[in-house]
Amino acid sequence: MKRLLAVTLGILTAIGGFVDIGDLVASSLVGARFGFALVWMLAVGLVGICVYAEMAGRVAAVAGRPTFDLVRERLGPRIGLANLAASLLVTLLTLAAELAGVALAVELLSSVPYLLWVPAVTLLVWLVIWRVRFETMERIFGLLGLVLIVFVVAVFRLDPSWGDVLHQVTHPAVPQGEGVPTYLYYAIALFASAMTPYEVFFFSSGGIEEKWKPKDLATVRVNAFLGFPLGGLLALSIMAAAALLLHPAGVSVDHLSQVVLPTSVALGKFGLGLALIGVFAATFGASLETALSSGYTVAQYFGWRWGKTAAPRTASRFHLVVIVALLACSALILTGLDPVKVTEYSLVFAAVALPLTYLPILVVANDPEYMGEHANGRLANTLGTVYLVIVLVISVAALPLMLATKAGQ
Amino acid sequence: MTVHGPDPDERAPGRAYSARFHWLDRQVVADDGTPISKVDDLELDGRDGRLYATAVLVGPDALAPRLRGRLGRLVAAVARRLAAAEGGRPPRIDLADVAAVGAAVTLRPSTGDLRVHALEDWTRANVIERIPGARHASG
Repeated sequence: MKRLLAVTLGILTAIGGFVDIGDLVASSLVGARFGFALVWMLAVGLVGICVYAEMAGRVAAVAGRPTFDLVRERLGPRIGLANLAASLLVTLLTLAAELAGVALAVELLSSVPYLLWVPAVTLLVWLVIWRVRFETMERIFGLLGLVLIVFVVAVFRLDPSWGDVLHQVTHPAVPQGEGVPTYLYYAIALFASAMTPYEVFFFSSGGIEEKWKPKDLATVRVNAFLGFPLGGLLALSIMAAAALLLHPAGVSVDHLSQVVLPTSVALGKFGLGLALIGVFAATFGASLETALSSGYTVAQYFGWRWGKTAAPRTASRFHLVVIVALLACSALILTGLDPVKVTEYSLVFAAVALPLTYLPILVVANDPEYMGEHANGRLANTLGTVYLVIVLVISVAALPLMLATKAGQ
Repeated sequence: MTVHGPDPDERAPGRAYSARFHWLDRQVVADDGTPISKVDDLELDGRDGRLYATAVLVGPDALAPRLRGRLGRLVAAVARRLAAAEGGRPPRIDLADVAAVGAAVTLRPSTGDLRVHALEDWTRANVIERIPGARHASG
C-alpha cells in the first residue's frame, strides 16, 4: 500500500499533462477525427516525459534543486526570464481553462451554468493549497483522477475487433477529408501536451516538498515510470473510445459533454457518473498543479523561499503569486472565453518554449559536480538528446503549422 | 575571470571557482537548506591589481543591470517602485558568511537576519498574515 501511495505525485503530475481539460477534449477530438492514426504520437510524447521527469526528479533528489532554479542558473538571467514569461503564460492559460473545466464537470452534474461555479471552484482550489497537506492533496486528487479508468472499461465493453485496431495503430494513415498539415498540427498538440513544461516544474518541486533525498531514487523512478504511463493510458482510452464510437458516427468534439458520451453509451448512467467524477478530479488536480507551478517558477527564478509545506507567512511572496494567479485566471475565464480554445492555443506556445526548459535539465543531470555518481547514464543521455532534437523541431514547426491550418480547423 | 572563494585551498589550481559558472544565478540557502535568494550579482573589490569577490548582491537592483537593455530598465523601474526606502544600494551577503559552494551557495549557521527580504517582509505584513491560517503549516 505504501508503495502504491508513493506514486501519487507522479500520477497527479501526469493527470495535469494527459487528462486536463484541454487534453480531455483534444484526445477525444483526435480520436473522433483521426481514429487511431495518432496513437503513435501519444506514445512518443509519453516516453519523452518519462525520460525528462525522471531526470528532473533525480536532480531534485540528489542536488536538491528544482527545475526552474536550473533554468536561470544554466541559461542566465535574460533567457531565463524569457522562459519564465513564456512558461508562465502557458501555465496561467492552462489554469484558467482548468478552473472552467472543473466548473463544466459540475455543470454536467448539476445543470447549473458553469460560469456560476467558477468563483466557488477558484476559492476551493486556493483553500486546498492554503490548508491541505501536500501528500493528502496528491493522494486525493491523484487517486480520484484514476476513476477515469472507466474509459478503459468502456473501450472493452465496446468490444472492438482488436486486430483491426492494431492495424490502424501500426499503419497510421491520414483519413480522407483531412489535410496532412492538420494531421501534423494535432500530432504536435498531442506531443506538446504530453510534455508541457509545468509537469516537470511541478514534479521536481513536489519532490522537494516531499523531501526526496538520494536514497529515494527508487521512488523517483517508480513515479516517473509508473505514474506517467498511467496518465498516458487514460488519455489513450479516451482517444480510443472516441475513435470507436464517435469516429464512425461522424460526431465532432468541441465540448466536454461529447468527451464523456462513449461512457454513457457503453456503460449507461453509472459509467457517465463515474466519468464525470473522474473529469472533476482530473481538472481539479490540474488546477492545483498549474496554480502551484506558477508560484514555483516565479519564486525559483528569483530565489525566494517557496513551498506549501511550510507556514504561508514564511513564503509570503510565493503565496501572493499563487493568489494573484488564481484571481487573474478566474477573471479571465469569467469573461466567457471558450476554455477549450484557450488550452489549444496555450499548447502551441508551450511547444515553442519547450527546449528552454528541457536543455538545462539535460545539462545539469550530466554534471558530476551536481550529481556525483547519479549523473546520467548512456541510456538517459541517448534518449534525452533524441528528445531534445524532437522538441527543437517541434518548437520550430509549431507556429507555422498553427497559422497554416488556422489552428487545426 | 577567476574569483577567490571563501576557502581558496578547497579547490585545486585549475579548478578554481568561476564567477559565471559557480556563483552567478546560483541559489543561496541557509545551513538548513531554506532558500534565501539568488546570487543576483557579485560585489568585486580591486586589490594589488587583482579582483576579489567580497559579497553576494541580492535583489532587483542588483539583477537589473545584468538583464541589460529595455528589460533591464523595466526591472530597475519596478524595483525602484517596490523599494522599501533602502536607498538604491542592493542588499549584500558578505562572502565571509558563505560556508560552501556546491549545487547551491550555503551560508554559515550563525548568519543572523540578512535584511535581504524587504519585499517579503512587506508582503507578509500587508497581505499574507492578514489571511487566517497564515501562521500554520499545512505540511
